[in-house]
Amino acid sequence: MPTRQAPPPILAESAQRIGRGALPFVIAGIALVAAVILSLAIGARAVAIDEVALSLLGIGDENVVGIVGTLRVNRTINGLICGVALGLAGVLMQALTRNPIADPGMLGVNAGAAFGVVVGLSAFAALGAGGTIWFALAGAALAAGVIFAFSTSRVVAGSPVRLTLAGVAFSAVLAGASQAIVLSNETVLDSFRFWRVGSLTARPVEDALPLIGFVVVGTILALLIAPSLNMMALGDDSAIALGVRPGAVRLLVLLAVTLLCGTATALAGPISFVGLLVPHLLRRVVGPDLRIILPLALLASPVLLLVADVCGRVIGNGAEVQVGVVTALIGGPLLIAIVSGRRRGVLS
Amino acid sequence: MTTTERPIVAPRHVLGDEQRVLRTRRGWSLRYHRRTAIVVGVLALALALLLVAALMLGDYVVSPAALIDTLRGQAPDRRTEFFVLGRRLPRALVAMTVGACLAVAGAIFQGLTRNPLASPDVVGVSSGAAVGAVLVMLVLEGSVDQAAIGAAVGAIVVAAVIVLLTWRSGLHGVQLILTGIALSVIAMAIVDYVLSQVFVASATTAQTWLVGSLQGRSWSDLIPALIALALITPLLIWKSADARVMALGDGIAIGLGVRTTRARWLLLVAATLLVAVAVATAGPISFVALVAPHIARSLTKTPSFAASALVGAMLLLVSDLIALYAFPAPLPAGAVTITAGGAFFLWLLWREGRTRA
Repeated sequence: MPTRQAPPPILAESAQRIGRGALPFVIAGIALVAAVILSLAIGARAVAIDEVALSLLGIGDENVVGIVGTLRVNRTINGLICGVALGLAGVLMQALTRNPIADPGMLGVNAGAAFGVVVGLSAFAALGAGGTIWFALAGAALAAGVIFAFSTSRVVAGSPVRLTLAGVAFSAVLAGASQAIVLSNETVLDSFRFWRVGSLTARPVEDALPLIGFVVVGTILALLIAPSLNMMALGDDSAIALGVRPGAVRLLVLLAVTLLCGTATALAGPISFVGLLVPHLLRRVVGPDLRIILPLALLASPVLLLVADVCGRVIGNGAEVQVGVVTALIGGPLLIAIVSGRRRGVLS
Repeated sequence: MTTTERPIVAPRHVLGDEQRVLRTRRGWSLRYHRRTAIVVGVLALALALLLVAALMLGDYVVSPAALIDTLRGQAPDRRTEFFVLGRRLPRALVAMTVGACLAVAGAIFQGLTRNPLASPDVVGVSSGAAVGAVLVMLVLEGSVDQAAIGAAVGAIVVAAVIVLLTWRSGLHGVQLILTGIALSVIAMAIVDYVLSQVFVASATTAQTWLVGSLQGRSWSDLIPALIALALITPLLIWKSADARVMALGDGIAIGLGVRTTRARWLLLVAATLLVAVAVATAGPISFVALVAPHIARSLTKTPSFAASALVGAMLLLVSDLIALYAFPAPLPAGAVTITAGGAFFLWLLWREGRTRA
């Protein structure tokens, strides 16, 4: 099995390992704080840090309070929620499908959520966040279910590229169906085209906050199943011998990925590559143990998304480049680098 | 290596029982495959029947007698003449030509990469065309005709980038496909960004174009595609034997005296031009390039550009008819091909995987 990682340490040494691994957590934590500050301070109008702090308390220049206190706080909170959700979903999908290039975007989970939203938008003209989330979750669940069914079958077993192709094709089917709906309804197209690029400003913070619950549940699920997933990296048979029930683990992962991706997609649109890059980079630094990678991804993923969002504000120079576009522009070349960097045959 | 490579079939298929040779007294000879010849004949007949159906069907149904009269130049009334000759015939011919261009390009890609899952749309050439067209249409504010030029440039640029990035690994295998997927994600991100920056009316126009549509295609759209197909066909006839031998692997091909690098370049350029013209004419129609060669191969049991072209022409013509008449409101043909083609692709993956497992 070409992509299988070295067996993770299961017993006592893991505690020691986690102790040794404190440094990455510290670095990721500092990076997260820095990213949040950048996200609050930088934009069409740069604001000094002391002013940022004041405006968060509601003190100071009214305009600054308006920009920082509401708009930028809003998108920063959205970025934190979506970053965590997408990063964890990516880790889970890569672990379960044993596919180092799995990503909720590429495997069609985001397309499923998007399809759900389009169906919702066309069925009910004024669909609030409360309604959108249910449609997005249903779509994400459908897509994740199909993809996981595919990934467990012999058909794609051991071939990341076949699974990726299946995901791309499945996304295409869903996208085609979405297009057909969107094209027959100009109002739906108008809201959909903004939502589709992936933007942290798509929804006000009042809509975002109630959805945190979904992400929290998804996160807890992810952290709870990490040890079992670790053992499943050894193969189903070994995992069963170690007391893991692969079927149950798959179901829980499916649930977690659905909650995470559905929420992120409902909030910010389909954003790809965060779920691909974060686990990839983390594996290089700390190795394959999911009990370390998952909590670390919790800190690191929002960093990537927030920095991408800040980049979009800066390079757009007024005409802001949405964060989904920026992550695609960063992630595409990196995917090519990952693919070219591997020796031929490794991915087949 | 990828297990998607076709197994090396005994040379019977290169020169075997099924081969027949026609010779003239002056020394010209034409080698053909009997089963392929039969299949091509049947396909051509079916395509002709479909064309007749496309000319007759619609809100204004034309009777067979009226159709024959119209085609003979004696239309019963101006309305029939307008619908048949002015609207339906050019549209159907554009569909057939574009379908054929895409199918042949797909057959070339699949043969060259020895990967039945590779096709111009999977490896991102069509997305490149989409970016080119959208940039011309919405940023440079060009006409739809000028967008066609942008599409051609975009397709060629992406193809060039793919070749540069994957030439070293021999243009086949996983790297090509994944690189293509990455490129098309980048391309579509740019498209989405541009779409989000314009007025909704322009976005709708561009979006319809992006799905791939034959709406309003007329005689003037037919000519460039037809010219491209006509120019490239002789090259394909000339190189098809080489292509068939190269499908057995470079070692065998070189041993049999094929100059593989040159043949590969020629075929690659031909395929890119065909896609560029097709996308410029009808937008990035998905999956025809992928599906048509498969259907053709399962009918003829051997790779054939002619059979692929005919299947491609039929697929797009049928898709357009379905898109026009099967739904409450007419859809672009690309919406049908992407949904049905994606499903077919999944089924194909499934079947290929089972035979492999």
